[in-house]
Amino acid sequence: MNDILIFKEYIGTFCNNLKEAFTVYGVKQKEEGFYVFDEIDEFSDPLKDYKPTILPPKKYLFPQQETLLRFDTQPYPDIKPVIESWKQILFGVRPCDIHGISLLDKIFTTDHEDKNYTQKRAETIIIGIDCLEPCYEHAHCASVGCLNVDDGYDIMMTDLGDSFYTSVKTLQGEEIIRKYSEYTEACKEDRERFLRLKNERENKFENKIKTDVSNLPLFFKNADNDPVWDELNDRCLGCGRCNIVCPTCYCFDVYDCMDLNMTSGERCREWDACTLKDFAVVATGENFRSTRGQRLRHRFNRKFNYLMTKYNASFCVGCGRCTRSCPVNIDVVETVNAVIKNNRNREDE
Amino acid sequence: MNNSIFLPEIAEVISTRQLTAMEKYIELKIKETREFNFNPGQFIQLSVFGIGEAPISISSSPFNKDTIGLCVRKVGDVTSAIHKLEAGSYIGIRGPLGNGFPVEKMKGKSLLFIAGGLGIAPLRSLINYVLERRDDFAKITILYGAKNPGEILFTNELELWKKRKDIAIDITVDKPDDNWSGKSGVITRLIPPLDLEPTNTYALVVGPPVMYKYVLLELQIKQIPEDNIIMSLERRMKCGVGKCGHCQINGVYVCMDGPEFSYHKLKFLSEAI
Repeated sequence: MNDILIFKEYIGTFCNNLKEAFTVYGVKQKEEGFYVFDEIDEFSDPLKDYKPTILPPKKYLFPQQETLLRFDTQPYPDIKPVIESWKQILFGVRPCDIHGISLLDKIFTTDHEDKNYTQKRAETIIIGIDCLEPCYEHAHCASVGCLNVDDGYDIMMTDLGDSFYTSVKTLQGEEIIRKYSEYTEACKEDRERFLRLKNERENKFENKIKTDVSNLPLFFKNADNDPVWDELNDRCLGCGRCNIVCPTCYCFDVYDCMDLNMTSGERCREWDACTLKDFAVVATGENFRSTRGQRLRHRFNRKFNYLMTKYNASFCVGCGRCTRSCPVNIDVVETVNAVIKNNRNREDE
Repeated sequence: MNNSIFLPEIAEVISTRQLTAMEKYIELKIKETREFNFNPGQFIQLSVFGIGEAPISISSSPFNKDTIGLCVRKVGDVTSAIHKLEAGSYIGIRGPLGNGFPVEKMKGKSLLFIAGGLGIAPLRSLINYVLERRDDFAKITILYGAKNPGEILFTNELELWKKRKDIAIDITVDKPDDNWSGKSGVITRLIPPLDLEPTNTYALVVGPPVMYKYVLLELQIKQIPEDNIIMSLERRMKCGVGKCGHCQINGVYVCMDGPEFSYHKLKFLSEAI
């Protein structure tokens, strides 16, 4: 399908039409300056200027709590997997969060497919909204190669003022556009205007990390004993907020819940956080990452070294949510730059 | 729908046996009629429904295809619940998980087993495997250390092993009691007197983290190559299939990449032992 224009006066109708066939989640302002993804009742959403939502849209693919099994133990164990999913649309997802979802796609399909995730993902249509201006001071998407997004969405919209320049990536995307939206074909002038805006944005997004992102695994491999972890050890509260707001954190805990009859129940999973004290404790009581500095080092290595090396992509998408939510102002960009600087200083010695 | 990675299969508890105050041996049989094939050193995720799931190493011989034997120490909620199970109860298992010991590479070599405490549980599976295939291996030496005589596991089997002429076995306890006539002291003391052919020997080491540090020193003095020192690591696991993140050591997952690792691999992982 060629690129199209959806005029802004039709966006509300488009969204309402989608609601007939899908559960539609979009961006809402929760309170001044704070945005959330939530089910849309009526379309009045701040697509243009919203800062990253408090929680990323991963919550619709990998919910904070989720039932994995339902079991009945009497008279003989009967165990059934529980995989819940429904047709859903994530409306107005930014490039950083689209990257986040694409990374989770890799995690939950590699080695052993996690159906609880992949089945939800298969029933999800993603309508992206491109960024033309940096959304807030903590964003560093350009530094980690996540400003531009070529994959992982069905439809991408770019704000041209009176209309959205809309590129359709998938057949699913085309189907819902044809079925539910009023649109006109984009003409040559529209395309030029779109490309000019895309071009102009390049200079607006600063490269905040002081090296090419592909160098980071090497810097982190050499940073096991970096003093930055000692310094952060004294600041970090070990509260896990950075994990909880991260679009690519996916560690979880699994626990059983018995019904009141004490014979049937559920096995559930729940988001966990590698910065919490007990995360790496083993049965005999040893804690293999017993200090806050070690646990933060682990978290940073997951983003910029371990997973990055395995999947050849930065697992930080530059949304800046961890920096924004940290109660003691631990800044992801500052930390990465300190690791780079200390590495370079050691090399000079 | 039925291929959820979290779905356990049902197994029946065939028998239970109290080994020590803390350890129980339980024998399971999966309900589905098929052979349960595994490599020595692999583990299962064991479910007590309503309590939870825990990773437990398989302790029985891989040649026994009918039942699965587990040696379970009572340390947490799930293992305490396992201790309460009686023959005829049902539990859930997922597995076998992990990779196991590199038995193919070990063929033709001498084997030095070093078991500390509960470390004998996974090693017992491997020991029974190599005893069944005795001709495939050169010299076999088993060192086993326990905290005190009361904590020695598989005592009947140890007696049988002692009687064999084709293996050497040495046992020590940290704290002997009045009835103990064997050796006392830490297990590392058993290593220096050994006559080993270092490049032709595999050391299979399983025990608590504190034991690894000192055993490694002794094995290095004996000049066992780092690739030939294999250790099995313990971590808490919530999924067993490389997702939940709990067993991660630096960049590796114990469930997917282990639980056995060579010292050559582990020495680059600062959070391993």
